[in-house]
Amino acid sequence: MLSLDALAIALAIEGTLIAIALGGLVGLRMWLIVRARQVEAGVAALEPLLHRWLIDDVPVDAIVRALRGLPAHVAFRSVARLTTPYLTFERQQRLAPRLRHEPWVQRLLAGHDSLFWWRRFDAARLLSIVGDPADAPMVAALLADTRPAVRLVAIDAAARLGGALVDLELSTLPFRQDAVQQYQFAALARHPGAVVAALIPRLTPLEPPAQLVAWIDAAAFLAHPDVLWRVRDLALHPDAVVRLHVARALRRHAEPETVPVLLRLLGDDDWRVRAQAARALGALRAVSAAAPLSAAVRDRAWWVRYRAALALAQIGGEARAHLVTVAGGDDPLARDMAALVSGLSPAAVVEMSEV
Amino acid sequence: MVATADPSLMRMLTFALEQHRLPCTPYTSGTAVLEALLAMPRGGVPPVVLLDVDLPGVDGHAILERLGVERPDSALIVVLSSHADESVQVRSLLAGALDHLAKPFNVRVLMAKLRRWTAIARRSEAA
Amino acid sequence: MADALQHSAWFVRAVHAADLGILWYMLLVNSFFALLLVLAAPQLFAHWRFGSEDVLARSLTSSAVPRVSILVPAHNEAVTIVESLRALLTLQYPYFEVILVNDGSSDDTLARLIAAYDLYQVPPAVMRRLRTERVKAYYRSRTWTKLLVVDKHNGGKADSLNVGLDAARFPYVLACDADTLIEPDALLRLARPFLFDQKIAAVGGTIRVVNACTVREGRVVDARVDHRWLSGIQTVEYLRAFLFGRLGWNLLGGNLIISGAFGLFRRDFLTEILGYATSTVTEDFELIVRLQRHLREQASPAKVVFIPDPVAWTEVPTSVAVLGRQRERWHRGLISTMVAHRHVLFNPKYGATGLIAMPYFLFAELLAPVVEAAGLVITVLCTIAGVLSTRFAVAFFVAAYLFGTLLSLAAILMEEVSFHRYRRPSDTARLLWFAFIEPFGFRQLTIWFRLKAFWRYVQGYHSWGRMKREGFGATPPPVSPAPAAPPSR
Repeated sequence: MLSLDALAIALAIEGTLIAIALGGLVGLRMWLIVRARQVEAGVAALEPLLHRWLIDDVPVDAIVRALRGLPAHVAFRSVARLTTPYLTFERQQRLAPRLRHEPWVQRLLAGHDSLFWWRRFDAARLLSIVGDPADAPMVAALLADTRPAVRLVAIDAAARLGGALVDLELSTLPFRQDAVQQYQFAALARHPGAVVAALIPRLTPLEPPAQLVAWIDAAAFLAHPDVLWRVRDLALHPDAVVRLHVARALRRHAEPETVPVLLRLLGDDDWRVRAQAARALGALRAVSAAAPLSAAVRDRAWWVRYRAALALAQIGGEARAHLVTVAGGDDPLARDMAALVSGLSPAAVVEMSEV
Repeated sequence: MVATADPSLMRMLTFALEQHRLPCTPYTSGTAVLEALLAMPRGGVPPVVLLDVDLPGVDGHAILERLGVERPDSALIVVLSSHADESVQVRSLLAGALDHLAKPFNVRVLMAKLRRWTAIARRSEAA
Repeated sequence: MADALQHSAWFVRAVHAADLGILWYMLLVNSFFALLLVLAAPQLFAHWRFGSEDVLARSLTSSAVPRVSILVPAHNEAVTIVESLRALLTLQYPYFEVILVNDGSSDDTLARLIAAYDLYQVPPAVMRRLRTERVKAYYRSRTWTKLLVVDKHNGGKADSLNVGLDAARFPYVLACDADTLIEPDALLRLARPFLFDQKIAAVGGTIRVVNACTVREGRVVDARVDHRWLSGIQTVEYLRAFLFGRLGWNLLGGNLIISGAFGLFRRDFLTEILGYATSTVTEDFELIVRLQRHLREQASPAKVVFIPDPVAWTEVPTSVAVLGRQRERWHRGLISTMVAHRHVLFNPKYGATGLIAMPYFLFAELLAPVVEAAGLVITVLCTIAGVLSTRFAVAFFVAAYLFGTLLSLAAILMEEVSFHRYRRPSDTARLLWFAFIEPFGFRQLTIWFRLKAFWRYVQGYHSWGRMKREGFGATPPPVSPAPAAPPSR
């Protein structure tokens, strides 16, 4: 009987807690509805002004004034929702300085060192829209935030500012996950000049391979000749992973001197390097590589055969004739691969070699 | 012709087109715009189409491919996409698009381009 | 006789003890569930804050997304296959391919596909790593560059997925059912955890019930709740199971279930563990258990995570017979998987999986129908016989049912707050109604079906010595034990 009473008490306590939680949820829902309606109203008021500004029908002051008249969180969300998908970088640069010192912006930015991650998140988000170079220290702190969501949005903010933050970003780049790295590349591409200058000293064999490959990938994304020269010089690096990334990067370097380097990588010991070299040769439409590539279709590794066959199809012309020869040849695996690729439409060849 | 599923983008484009006095027919689904393009009478002025890649039903790339097969050179298609990278752009252009614009794009420049293309289309039809 | 029982002190004490034990069990299980609710809340909040469209869309443009091969096993789906495949091919995602595996369909599925997608045969230039039934042919499409169709001899869903796994060329694979309706931005949402600096082994998303929803061109345009009680209650079940059943586990060492109707995996891990097992009836659950084992054994930091976003819609059984077969099959799969992986249980070498997740599945899922049935029988009979007081009956009712209802209410409200897919107040009202009536009939039905699973498992073990493989033409399209996780609460 005693246990039954204990049970009953436990039930009562838990039941009350859950009921309170339910009540809280209901309250939260109500509050969210109210806020969402406000934001919708803000967006509806702002959107036509923005459209008119985009065709220069109204001066940017009209937008600044309209935002001033809205509650801070509404202004923030409306601006975020409308500017991110529809404003080019150039237009953003015109709007940002006019908004940077508005009182509502100052209030929201004060949350950049708040204990609550969502306030920091909002500050980072706002900085990515209206930040100016003086905010570099704030953004640097947010880039190193403990919360990954805040770090991610801070990358965008850093992209606005360029300058010293580029160096910081490049230093942290190798330690991010693939998807975040790609995101960072896209952000860095806004300041090609600064990034190129910061990348060149880093692309040396003296750097640890794990970090070097991240910078090689950044160079590939930027596709700037100055950095790609340096990448090409790393083609003889002792580490196979580095060579593989170099081969992949060189597909963006359409210079005549690149082809001999790639042909050498096509004969590499590591199959991954060979595969990427084949892919790069295809992307560069290297006609002189047709014969080595058709030899590569007979390679032992599946991926090398695949990439080599696709490269021959991409180069086209005489290279395709090589493919047909292989398709009628004696090596069954090479025959199958060549037959497969020969039958693909040009659009499919492009898609399969790019991706 | 403007085909996009994004209502905000649709509003922006229709507004800009109206301001520049360019005729505009909105479509919100891939199948609708594909049907309209295939049902167009042959000959006549090729329309300029602003085609968003992310459309419900049939996506932008598939529409390009279909048109390339069935009605080549019947319309001047400008592809709009949120993806800016090189391979996507090359793909669209090889598939028959007149131009590929990544979002966000510059509206004034687009309007200027549209006026130019419409003028070219009219002139080529007259020739 | 009832008098005699009443006066037998020994019997009365035994019954009290048993019933009390059962009540404490129920309280503990429900409390654990409430703990999952507490752990889910901040994640939902974070999702709400970060999940707004502009940030999501921008953060996942072009190259920042993982490349995905979508594997679709299909068997006798002639009626819907062309439409479903088109919906898959038009998903909003920059880099993906679709591999449809025709598992020896006896109807004209393949013929329809060849006609609709202009398929032509290609040589089998595919790396074979897994052992599967023989493949008859590979086909590519002249109009859709993303499509690859594989025709093979019948071998079941797991076998078809393994064939697809071999044919995939991207590092990530998405396993899904042919009749699952996928949201157009589902892949973008599934890719979101990759942006959070996490090493991911698998990602699952929320599956919703599509019965009574309006579907156009393979997309759900209007989400409604079915007014029929069977599908309606299952809608509540799915909400509860996914919204905090799965989400809470993200913070407790990772999920043990990613639904076979929709799950994203890293291909090299799957190949390392030799793909799906063809000997089980719930291949998706078994896969994840084996995957988590493998990850722990390799001391890999990769996680199995779950995102709360609604990503896929599937049809639930509308008749009691079909529901029965489905639940019985799920529970049978649960039993066989737990038996097959019993050395993970309470084994510290397997971390949270061995010490928290597996014991939970044993006590709160596997044994749940037994305990509940026993509790029900004892309480009802003994109260009538006067052995137990009505206080016990009330306590039982509260612990067993009222709590579960409260948790369902919490799930419904959480859905309202975060996603709000059911726009009409009438749908929310229906959900609340079904949450209340669930304990009066539906619960008991599921208990019965799951008890039958024990019997059938024992039968299968003795008569055939191994689990009989069920081709998925026998029962309606298999939905994995997705909500079996906690449907009983």
